[in-house]
Amino acid sequence: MIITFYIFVTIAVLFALVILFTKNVLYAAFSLVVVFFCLAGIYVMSGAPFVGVTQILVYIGGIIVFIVFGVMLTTKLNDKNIISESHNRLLGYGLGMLLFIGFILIIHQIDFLSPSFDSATRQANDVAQIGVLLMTDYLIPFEISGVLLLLALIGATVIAGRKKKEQT
Amino acid sequence: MIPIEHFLILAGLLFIIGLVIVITKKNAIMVLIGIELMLNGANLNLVTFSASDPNIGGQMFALFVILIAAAEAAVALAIILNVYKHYRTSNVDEVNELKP
Amino acid sequence: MLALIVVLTPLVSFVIMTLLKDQSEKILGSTAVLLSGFTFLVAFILCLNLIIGDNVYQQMEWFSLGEGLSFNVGFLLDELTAVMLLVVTFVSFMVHLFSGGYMSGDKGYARYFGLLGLFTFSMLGIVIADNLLLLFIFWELVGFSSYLLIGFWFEKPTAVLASKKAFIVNRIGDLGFVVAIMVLWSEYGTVDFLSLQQLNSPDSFWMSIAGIGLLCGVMGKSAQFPLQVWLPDAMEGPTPVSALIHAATMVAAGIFLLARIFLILSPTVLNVVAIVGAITAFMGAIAAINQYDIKKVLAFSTISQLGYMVMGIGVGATGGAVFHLVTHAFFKACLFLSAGAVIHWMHQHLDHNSDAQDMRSMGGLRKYLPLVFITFSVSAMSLAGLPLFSGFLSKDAILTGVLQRALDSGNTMSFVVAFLAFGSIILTAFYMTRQVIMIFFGESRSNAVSAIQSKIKFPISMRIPLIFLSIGGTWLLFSTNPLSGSDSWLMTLFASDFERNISHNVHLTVSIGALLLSISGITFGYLRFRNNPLSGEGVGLVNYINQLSFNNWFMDRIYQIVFVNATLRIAQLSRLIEVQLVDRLVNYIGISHIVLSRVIGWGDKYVVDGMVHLTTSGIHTVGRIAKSAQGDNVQRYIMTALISVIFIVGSLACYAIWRG
Repeated sequence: MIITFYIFVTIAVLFALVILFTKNVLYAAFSLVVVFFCLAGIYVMSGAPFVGVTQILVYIGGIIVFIVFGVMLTTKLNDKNIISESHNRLLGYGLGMLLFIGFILIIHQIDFLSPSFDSATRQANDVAQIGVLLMTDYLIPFEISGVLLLLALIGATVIAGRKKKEQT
Repeated sequence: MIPIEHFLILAGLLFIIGLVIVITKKNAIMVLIGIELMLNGANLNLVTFSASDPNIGGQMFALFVILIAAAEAAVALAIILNVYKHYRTSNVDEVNELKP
Repeated sequence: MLALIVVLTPLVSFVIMTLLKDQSEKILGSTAVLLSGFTFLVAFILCLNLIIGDNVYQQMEWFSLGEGLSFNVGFLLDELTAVMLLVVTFVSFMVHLFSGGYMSGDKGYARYFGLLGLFTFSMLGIVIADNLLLLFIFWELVGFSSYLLIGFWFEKPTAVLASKKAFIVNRIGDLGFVVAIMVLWSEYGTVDFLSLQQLNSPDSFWMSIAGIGLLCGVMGKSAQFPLQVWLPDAMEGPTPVSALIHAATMVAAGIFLLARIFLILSPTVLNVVAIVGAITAFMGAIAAINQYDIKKVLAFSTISQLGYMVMGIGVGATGGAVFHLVTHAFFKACLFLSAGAVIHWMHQHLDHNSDAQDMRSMGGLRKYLPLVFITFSVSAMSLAGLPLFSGFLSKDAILTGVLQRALDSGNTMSFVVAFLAFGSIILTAFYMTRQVIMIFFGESRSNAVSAIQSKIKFPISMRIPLIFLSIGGTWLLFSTNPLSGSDSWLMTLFASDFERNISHNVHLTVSIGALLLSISGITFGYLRFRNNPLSGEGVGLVNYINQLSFNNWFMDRIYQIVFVNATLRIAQLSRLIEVQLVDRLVNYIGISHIVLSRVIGWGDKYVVDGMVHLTTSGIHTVGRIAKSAQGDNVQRYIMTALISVIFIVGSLACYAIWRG
């Protein structure tokens, strides 16, 4: 169990770093897929299977497709690979290191309660519990998110479908 | 059991990497990817804390986050497409009418 | 008070003439003559007051140069003033009368009378001044009026040159005058006549210097040697002007000055004065011998007679000098006016090519101008020094003084003076005889065929002055004794102590001697010129003397060569220096300026402008750096926000940690 967790962690971090350091946009997109997978695994191991599955479905199934389509539509078609340079690297990396060190320091300061959950029972009751909560405690966000999705749908269609304005 | 700090460190790492991607990358799609990564880091944080919570509030939140992220990614892509149509490039440096 | 009226009336006349200059001649002429007559009347009354009563000495403060250095001006009216006033106003009046007729038809009529008025005003100012500075002011004014009047016909180039020459030569003399004033002021603190007399220190060094300076002024004004060259040329002016200014009044101003300052002149200075006077008398007489212009003869004669007067002062015979001044005024003015009448007649009867003043074309005018002949002859005899005439009396007075001084001092210079004085008597008689014969006797040499038969009548305005002035040529006005000068009322008033003590023997010697010399001079002249008035030729020594005389001892030539040419040469040399050196220097300085300015321009352009550019570009860079915080890049904003958040959180954390 613990080993798998650490394998997941390693792969996720590794591929996240790939995203960071690669110049090829498609490589980055597919590395993101791998990171999503690993994260889904970690979710499942933390007693949140529904979230993990939703992650795979929505993120990998939807958003990655979006991203790949976007890449396809926004590049000039030529033989070269889609290269993306980067800038402000020094500053960015420096800031990243700084933040990371800060995070570690802060996290180690905190005194956490030890978790007390039974992962098996949690996993078994998970979906039902989520469904119940969605309809009772989280009804309004649920409905609103429906509206929101509708909005997003319409909005995206409108924006993307806008004809190019004539140059005056 | 796995100490909770490791989860948190992972989450923080992912978040930071996402942030650095946002800052340093020039392609708009890469920036989007970075944003997704950041969201995922936050998600992991939420889920980690919900593991010790009888009311699985964290998971609910994470679900909604995923939802919103999807909607947002759709709109963002639409915008990027539009911008690309206008400027003929997806390089964020060149998508700029501010005189230097 | 009367004095002011006397002085200012001619000035009024001058002003009126300038204002009314377009009126008819009659109005202008009568106004001027009336004013002149009025002046004479007032002067006469004033003189009676003075002679009977006291002298008038009034002063008022003019300006002050600070503590204790105040300067006064005022009147000094004593007997000398009285006599001079009479003479000046009377002659002026006569000349005004005469000019009314003489100048008729001239287009400068109004200007002429105005200038006559101005001149009279200036001359009267000299006479009443009580200190040297005020006198000097009027002295200059008189010189200026003379300049204007000599150059009256300014279209004639010779007239313009003559007036300039007169003024400049006069000025040279005035330089000495000014030096004298400065010396007296700085040494003694006063230039007042009476104060100077009271100082009673005629022998001091500075007083002698001042005396020499004043003598220079006299030399300029009264045409003494060596400054006598302007007077012959001054004959370019109208003849009445010559009568008034250059015979009777202005040239007498010098004598008047000498009489005023007589008491402060040291014996050394007086010796110089006498010598100058004697030389002048002799040179003038010689020069008059061989002239052929009427007025030039009279001019040289004036120079000679002025020399007599100066010589008189020099030997101490002040009474004689003043006496001769008065008589000379009368008979010389009469001579000039008569000559003017002759010239007037000649103008009207000659063709315009001939010179109306040339005696060689005159002759036999006795028939046509009888009145003029009489007045001219009377005055000529007075000038020559025949008894029964006033000239005899006054010359007698001077010559007695000269001889007495020679006998008293016994040094050679005094004897030379005496010799020159007595020698000039013969010459004077000689040239006057020549002139009378040339003009009035013999056959007529002129080409005036047409009018020989008619006798032209002069207007009465021209005849009266001649008559009155010629009366002054006789002894009648001056003394009850026609044969001796020392009984004259003038001598009674003015004779110095020296003169009163002249021995009777000297008187007798002089009278007889002078008489003999005059008669011999007349005889020489008569014999030589009786048949051949034009005989100016001669050989050897006679020719040499003739040339010398005619050219006024070549003085003009000498002055031209020595002074004028030298000055011109020096001017050319300085011009050369100026062009070569100074202009070159200036050019070099200019060029160096340009070079310097180029260098500075370079420095300005690169250094100064460079600094400015540096500053601006520095600010530009700073601005760009500052601007770069706001980039064109959204990611920059994110980064900025991130940094800010880190900063805030970090500082809060540090604060918390520090707080414990």
